[in-house]
Amino acid sequence: MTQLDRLSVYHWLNAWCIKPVGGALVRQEPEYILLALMGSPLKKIMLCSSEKEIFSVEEQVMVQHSVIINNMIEDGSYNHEESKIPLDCVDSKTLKKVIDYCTHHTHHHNDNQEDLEAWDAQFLNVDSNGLYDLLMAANYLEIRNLLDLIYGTIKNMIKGKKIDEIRRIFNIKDHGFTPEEEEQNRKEYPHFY
Amino acid sequence: MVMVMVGEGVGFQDLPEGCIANVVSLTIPRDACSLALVSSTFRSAAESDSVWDRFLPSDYNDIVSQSTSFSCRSKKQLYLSLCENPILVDDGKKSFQLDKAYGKKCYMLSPRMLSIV
Repeated sequence: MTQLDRLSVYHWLNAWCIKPVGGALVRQEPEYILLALMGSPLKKIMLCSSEKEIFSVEEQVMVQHSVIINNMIEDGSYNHEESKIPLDCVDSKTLKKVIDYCTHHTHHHNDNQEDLEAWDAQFLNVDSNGLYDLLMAANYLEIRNLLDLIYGTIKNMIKGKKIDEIRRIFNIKDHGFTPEEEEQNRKEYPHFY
Repeated sequence: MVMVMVGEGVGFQDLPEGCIANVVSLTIPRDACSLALVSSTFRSAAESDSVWDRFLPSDYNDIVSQSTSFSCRSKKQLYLSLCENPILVDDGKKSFQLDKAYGKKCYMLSPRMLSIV
């Protein structure tokens, strides 16, 4: 059963709160019904930002998107009763955004491509500091689709731009070439500058 | 179209070479050559094998194995070599080379391959 189907069933059961027990229908909390029927899709895990803020998020959401978190859950190093996953290189603002991205893409994965792309465009409507932080977080957590989205965005930022403009975009004050190399490059490829 | 506001004091100058390489590999060979001029880190990234491996056709190993005259130090060198030196493939019936800017495959057929009805 797909993740989205589970959620649909959950909402349906939530409306009725019923469970067959020995032929009778008994009112139950929907989480327990789901646990009994299909495992526990709404199990939560705790993520801890570099600012020591705790974020509770659905396990399935993070497991679906982050290779790192998926590995931690699978190899049993995460204890649901006590553990928090410390993410010392991700600040709260960025972690919240990453969780939003993963949650949206899990719950809306059946949406049409146009709607998803529009949402992604709005999601990445950030300044370049924010984009850099998201890239570092996605890289660290190994979230493939978010990484691809950000790389594509950066590529579009520099496509067709001259070298001096690209240096400005990336705030590159020291290009690392010797003055001779830089002069040679400008002489040989003036149209790129 | 995603709009990203550019500001001062951005962390992008610290972007790891691997990340830059990932961005460059999404562009075309011609752009990769110009991106190598941005900075020494960009040059390292833009000339890396991981980038030029993406620009080479997926079956380049099969094509190159049909010619005995290949020994290239890097994937970029291999790419440029395939652009500048056509190789004979398919028992000498076709010649193969790459288009430099975009990496598209170009074949030339020998007259033996053409049958005019």
